[in-house]
Amino acid sequence: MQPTKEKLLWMYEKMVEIRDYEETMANVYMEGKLPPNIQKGLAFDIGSGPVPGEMHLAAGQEPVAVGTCAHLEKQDTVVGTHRPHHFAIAKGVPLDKMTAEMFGKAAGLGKGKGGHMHLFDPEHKFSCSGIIGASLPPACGAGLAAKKMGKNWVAVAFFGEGAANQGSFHESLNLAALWHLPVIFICEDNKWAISVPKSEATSVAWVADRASAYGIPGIKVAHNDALEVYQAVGPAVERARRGEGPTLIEVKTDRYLGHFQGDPEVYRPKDEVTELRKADPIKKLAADLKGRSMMTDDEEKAIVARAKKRVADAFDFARKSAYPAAQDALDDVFVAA
Amino acid sequence: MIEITLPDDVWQDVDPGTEALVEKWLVGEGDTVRAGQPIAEVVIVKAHQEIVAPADGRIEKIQVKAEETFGKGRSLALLSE
Amino acid sequence: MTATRKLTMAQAIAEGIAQEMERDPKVFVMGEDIGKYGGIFGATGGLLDKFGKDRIMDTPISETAFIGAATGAAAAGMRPIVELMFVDFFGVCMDQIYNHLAKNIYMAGGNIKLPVVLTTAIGGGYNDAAQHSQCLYATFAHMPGIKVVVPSNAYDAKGLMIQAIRDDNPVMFMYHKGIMGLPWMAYFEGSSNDVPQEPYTIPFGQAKVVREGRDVTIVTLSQMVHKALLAADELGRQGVNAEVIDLRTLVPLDRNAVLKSVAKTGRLLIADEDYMGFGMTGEISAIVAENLDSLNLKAPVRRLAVPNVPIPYSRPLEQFVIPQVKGIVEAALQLAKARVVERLVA
Repeated sequence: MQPTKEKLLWMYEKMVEIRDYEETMANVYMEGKLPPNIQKGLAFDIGSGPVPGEMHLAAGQEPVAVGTCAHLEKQDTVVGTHRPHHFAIAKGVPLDKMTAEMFGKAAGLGKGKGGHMHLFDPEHKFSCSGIIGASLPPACGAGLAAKKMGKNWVAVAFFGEGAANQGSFHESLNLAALWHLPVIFICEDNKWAISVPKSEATSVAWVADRASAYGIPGIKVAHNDALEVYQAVGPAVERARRGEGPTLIEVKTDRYLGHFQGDPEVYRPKDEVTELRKADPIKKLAADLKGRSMMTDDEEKAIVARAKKRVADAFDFARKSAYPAAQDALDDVFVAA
Repeated sequence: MIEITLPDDVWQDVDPGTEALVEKWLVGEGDTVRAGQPIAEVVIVKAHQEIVAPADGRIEKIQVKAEETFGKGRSLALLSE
Repeated sequence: MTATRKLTMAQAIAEGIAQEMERDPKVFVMGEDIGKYGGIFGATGGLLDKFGKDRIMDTPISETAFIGAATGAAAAGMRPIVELMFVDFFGVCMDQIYNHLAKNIYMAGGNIKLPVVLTTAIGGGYNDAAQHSQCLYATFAHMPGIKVVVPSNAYDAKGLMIQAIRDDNPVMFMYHKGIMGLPWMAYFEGSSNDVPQEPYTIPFGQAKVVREGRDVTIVTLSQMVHKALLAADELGRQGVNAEVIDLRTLVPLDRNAVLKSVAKTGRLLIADEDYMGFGMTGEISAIVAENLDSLNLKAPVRRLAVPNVPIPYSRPLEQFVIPQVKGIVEAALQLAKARVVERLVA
């Protein structure tokens, strides 16, 4: 399955946008958190600054998001994890509202109530959660609803390799298989579950091999490559739309930054990230596109400039947006009955 | 007199202007130390680092106390050989 | 004269665990990132180096399996300490906790022992949002069969931890992230304090009067103890002398400490970081209400707790829902001025 030139350029531009977003956020997150301007006796203050709390960035994992979302329409659902930005951006979640949410502003997706791990965009059918393994069951639900409504919509659940050892993973795969749900389960194997490497947590080398235990296809994508992901996800999406049920796809991807920002990564070999960055999938796709005369240097520059501007505008919007009123905390537990 | 600092390479990935924190001194002024002996624990952002004595000698003065922060290159203590 | 040194609560917990592991080879620890990482909140710092991988075991993200395994290992004669990284994650393993770990001893007529210590991180205030900021000790205290321990400082934490490990019953040991003494989270003074070098225990069911007073009783636990003490200082400056009670454990609960204090002051403020509805503040209020024949209230009971909303992410919203020092001061001042009014309902 070969992507069109438009699709390829879209994937490239989205990856550039995602990378720029994550790297911008990595810096903005640190604002206000470091000495000397924090409480005495601290080396870092997680609750300070314009983007307080935890932050989990997906720099390096862009290919999985774009290779998947290239096949999705607005009506398809994506449910994700605490490391959600790459999929959110690739799914079309508006950057300004997403960023405002992470700054805790009233104009954010959740009026500032959810924060970065809990982004909800019903218009683009994107949601995510901070509990490991929680993305799979709701994706099954979205698939179930599509079937009941007679639509050919699909649902994607993305999760890390760590989640493959959580009960909900097993239950969801069985349920989706049994009921022929139009779900694509995407496992992002970035080899680390905080400090624990996959080899010390998972009983098999490929999570994709667990698919056969549930009678569904398990596809292995061995490289952190947008095109490879695209070629693996395409047939799975088509299967699902034809009513042939779910697929499990595992992608070997790379997490460039820590588990969370500020993570000292004492568990990770010192040069691992430097080595990983040498095989940067964004640079690789650029080289591919230029090699195939699908993109000139000038076009590349224009794409990068456009993407960076969108990111910069989003952060600008977030900074300038107003905070919610304190009393607003009491609203929205329930909607009007 | 040797100045004991947090080595420059530790500061590599940190934004300029950021400071580190002395969490705990393991020795006091007047104590004799051996080269390689851990003498202090510091935290930079969230990473714990151990400071070891660069040579045999005596800690003459502690210049940055526990729970205080310091910038790159700052002398934390003085060691006389 | 025993040697003491100032420790953070995280260090005190790790030391308590280490000393019991040295004493008893049956004690071991399981959990996520408790090995090389030393626990996300430092509760197992240094233990992997001391005891090795066989006794300090990093687990996969499989809470039902490893917490259930702790129950099984305890039944078979081991003494596991098992960490649930954030209490908010209890959802993925609650059956093993409340239907098995908490009930098996009873259902077996007291003929088995289940010496499991379930450690977990609680609390918010640093913008970790709805799924990573809860306290939930009331949820666990509500269901019979599991002891609930909630230390407020390093000295108590070590003694309570050693007590918990030696207890042949399941104990939930809940430590607030904001008082672990982490170098990366804003803190209230007081949770790091002098801890004796040698092992010691603190019995469960013994609250502590951390500040004596005559005018109003503030009942609380965990990080809120430190906020209450700051509030008490301010109240003192305004002529109100507050008594602060640190409950330390919810199961068993020191009801007498509460009743004795309220009998003295006649005014009760309960300050809690868990949800208001159907929780700790309600339980304490009910205990007092049941004893109105033997003590006099000078003012209605006042409760400060998180309203029944999920903890919001945005800073002004989170600061609003979690009781703050200022809120405790205001509530106590109102109490000091309030009176019980008798009303006849026709």
